[in-house]
Amino acid sequence: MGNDLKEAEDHIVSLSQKNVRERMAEALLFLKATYGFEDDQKTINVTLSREEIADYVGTSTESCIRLLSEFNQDKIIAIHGKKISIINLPLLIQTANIED
Amino acid sequence: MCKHADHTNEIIDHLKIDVYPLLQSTISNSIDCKFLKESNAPEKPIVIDLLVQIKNEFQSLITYEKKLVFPSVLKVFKAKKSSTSLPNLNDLLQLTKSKEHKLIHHIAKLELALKHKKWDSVLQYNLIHVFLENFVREKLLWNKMIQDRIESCGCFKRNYFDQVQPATSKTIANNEDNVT
Repeated sequence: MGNDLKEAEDHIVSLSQKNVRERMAEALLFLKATYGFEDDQKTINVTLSREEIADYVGTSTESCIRLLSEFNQDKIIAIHGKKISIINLPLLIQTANIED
Repeated sequence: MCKHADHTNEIIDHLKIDVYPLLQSTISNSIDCKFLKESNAPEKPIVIDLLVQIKNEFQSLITYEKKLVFPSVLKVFKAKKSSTSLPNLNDLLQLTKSKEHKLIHHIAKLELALKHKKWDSVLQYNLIHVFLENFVREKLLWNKMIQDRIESCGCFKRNYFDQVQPATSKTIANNEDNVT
């Protein structure tokens, strides 16, 4: 019984973490489509605070910072201050779970 | 701006003022339903989970449309031919449609989960009804209007095709896959 509950809890946590990663990837794709890239064809042509990005994702600022750091470590994006470069677009699209 | 832009603005206002608030309140009512809260039915957690997913996905869609998609559509109408940085409407609309498909999928799952319900689920069925009869219908009209503008409105068509690269995200991804 205790193990079942623990498994159910882990499942819920895992689902919500996947969901928030999806939503962060989706937010970056929306921002790319709206503002485009700078001349380097990688850096999104907009400067947003972490609070503003968190608002798009629908999560807390802390969670937003953690997620961006994860994406950076996974080499999906590169962060330069408030600027974000997309360095692996196919992986970002895959993470966003975009449907046809 | 041309007359089509004014009409587009009216449709955007209609979505923001009439359609979206109605669906938002219908979603809230279906979550707050006392029959659902008091029920001990095995389907209850699934239904609540689906309702929360619908609420979150819909709120997310509204945020993107209000802050990015609708202003982008109007920007494409207003843009001068020499403008260089216009939104990629094709990608934006594809992303929006993807979110709409997720919502439709959640609603279909909700309808299935309600088949064996043991509580008075009129509020959840009302959500399904409002979603299909109001939201889906209005979004079909919206998508048809955008398509009409692309095909027949001079200023929209020119900016859409001349300034916006009509490459979808997936096309870009596939191209990059081919390069690497």
